[in-house]
Amino acid sequence: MALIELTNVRKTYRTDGMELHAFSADRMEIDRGEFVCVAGPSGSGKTTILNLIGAIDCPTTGSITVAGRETRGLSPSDAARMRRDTVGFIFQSYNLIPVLTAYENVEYVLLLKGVKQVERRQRVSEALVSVGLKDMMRKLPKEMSGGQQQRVAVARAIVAAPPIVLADEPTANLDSVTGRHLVALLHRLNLEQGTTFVFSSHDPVIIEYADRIITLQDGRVISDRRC
Amino acid sequence: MQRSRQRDGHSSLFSLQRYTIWVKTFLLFAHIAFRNVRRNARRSLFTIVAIAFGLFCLIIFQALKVGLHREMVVSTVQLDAGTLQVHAAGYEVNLAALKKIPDPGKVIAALDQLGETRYGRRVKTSGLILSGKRSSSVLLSGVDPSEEQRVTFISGKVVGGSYVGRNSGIVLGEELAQSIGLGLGDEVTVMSQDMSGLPVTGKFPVTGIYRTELAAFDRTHAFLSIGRMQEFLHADDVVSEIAMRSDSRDEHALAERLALALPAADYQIRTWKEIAPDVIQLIDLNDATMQLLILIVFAIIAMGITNTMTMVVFERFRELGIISAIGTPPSGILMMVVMESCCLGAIASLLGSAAAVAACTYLGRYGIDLTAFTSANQYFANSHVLKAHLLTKDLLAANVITLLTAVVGGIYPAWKASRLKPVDAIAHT
Ligand SMILES: Nc1ncnc2c1ncn2[C@@H]1O[C@H](COP(=O)(O)OP(=O)(O)OP(=O)(O)O)[C@@H](O)[C@H]1O
Ligand SMILES: [Mg+2]
Repeated sequence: MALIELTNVRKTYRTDGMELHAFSADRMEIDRGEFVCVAGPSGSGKTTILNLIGAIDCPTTGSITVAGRETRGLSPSDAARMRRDTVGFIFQSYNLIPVLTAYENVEYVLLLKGVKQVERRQRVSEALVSVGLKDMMRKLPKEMSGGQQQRVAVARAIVAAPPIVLADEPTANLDSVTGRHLVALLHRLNLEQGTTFVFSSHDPVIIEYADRIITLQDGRVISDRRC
Repeated sequence: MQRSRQRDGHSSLFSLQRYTIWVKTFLLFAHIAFRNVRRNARRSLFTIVAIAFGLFCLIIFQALKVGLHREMVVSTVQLDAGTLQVHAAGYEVNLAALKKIPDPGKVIAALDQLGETRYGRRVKTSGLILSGKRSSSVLLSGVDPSEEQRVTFISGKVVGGSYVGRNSGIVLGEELAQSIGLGLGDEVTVMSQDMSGLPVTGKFPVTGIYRTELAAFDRTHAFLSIGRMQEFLHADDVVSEIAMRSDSRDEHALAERLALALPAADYQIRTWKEIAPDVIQLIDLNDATMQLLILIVFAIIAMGITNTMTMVVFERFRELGIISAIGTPPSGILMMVVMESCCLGAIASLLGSAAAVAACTYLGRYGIDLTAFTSANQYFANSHVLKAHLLTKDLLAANVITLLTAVVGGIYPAWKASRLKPVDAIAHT
């Protein structure tokens, strides 16, 4: 059984009585340890598919299982628990809780999970070290650069060692060098820890890193290739 | 993985570690809430000042109200009525003839038994004061000066001559003396009825003039020593009224305890609330008005808080979406927002209370001079200065209400925030 399985999934948005087809796929599987990039032009459904996998949104029809659990029909609190336990998120920008320091932002998810103090301290430090921000622990988001903030978000996404990390255009707001570094970092974590990464991007430089590229257009998969 | 979650979900639900984590999460939310209050300092300050001001006003109004009520009670009890009065059974205020209390010694013994030592034996009847061509009807009181001084404050209000003494003449209110043209040392003719209803006339020198803050009282009350009065009315050893003053706040219970010793067949016992029902009615009316005021003020405060918190939630739409996306349950978000509004309430509570305590201390010492408004007001017989009297329980209650209001005002926006869909919030950049 694959880590992520989409079966006959269809997501439509209804605005002003108009049905808008945002994403559909008959069958899609993502295995443990994959480093997947979802590519495609603006409006092609990249955010939609990531939101569906992350149980932030649910499909109009079809079924999605993540780590063996069905995401459809979850109550808001069950969906929150599912996200807490199985997914790490990195968004495009403004990822962090502005009033918490880098350390506290990373620690937050562990507190939600009820990890005890000693272990928490160790894991937060490890996560911050692995993204190269050992010296930034006490800084607030506004005291850090965009790239540093994104790295804190990465640390937060991986600190609880979830099976999946989802990143929706994590480099879109970064300059190309910083963006490249970030993806290299994700790739390293993928290799070192075996975490499954699914990220979206339309930046060809970044797509290069991926070992599987799923290309979308108008809400449909037009190519799915491994490199 | 699922199995392990279930296992520690059950077995360690009550363990200390769970508890510590829970506390830690609570503290985290509180920490976030507090930092968020500081984040938009200006808006928070406006809200806090508004709440604090509402609280401040209420504490002061409440303290002034308590001060007013105390003053009203003092004016009633210590002007003449006392806390309790004992009469012979069947006594009525307007009886022309004197009604003798059977065995006054028994009443005194009963009062002593209760540990109440401030009582005054009186002979009280109505009479007419004549001077030259002028006359005025008055209530004549024969009092034992040493006893009476412990019940009423009239002895402290003497402005000319001296208070009633064993061998003194009559003591008149200043208004009365002036209106019928009497001064110290002048002789005055007094007419009344004796025990058997026959008219009696006596002449007494004016030996004292008093002035309370209540002109209407001064015009109609004259005092003699009880001995002179008994002699004048041919009523040897007669006592018609015993008034007592007690610090007990429960005069009703006191009356009941006294009634055990004094059978209703022979004695009538009345509390000041029965003697002056208008006072207690006015107090009750004030209390009800105050409650309505509290309700209105706190409803306005709650709306203000709801407004602020709604704005806060709206502004942090995306941020809350992220917080939700990374796994915070809706209940956690609810808690976070309510805590923020509690934080506003708590800071406002501290500020409002501190300011109010300071103001009440000042108003408790110096008061507000109401002479212009109350000189003809029976509830200000002792003094026209209204002093604040802050009770600890009122201060606590006001603070508890403020915090509850903050919770109530925060609940709706918090509920809204907790129901927000992370997908919409994240799209909102
Ligand atoms: N909440 C919504 N309501 C209505 N339509 C929506 C909503 N969210 C997305 N869509 C539509 O669904 C389609 C797919 O959107 P999606 O955001 O997944 O694209 P994307 O590939 O992430 O684009 P971008 O590169 O611009 O982020 C688009 O046509 C978009 O307009
Ligand atoms: Mg997108």
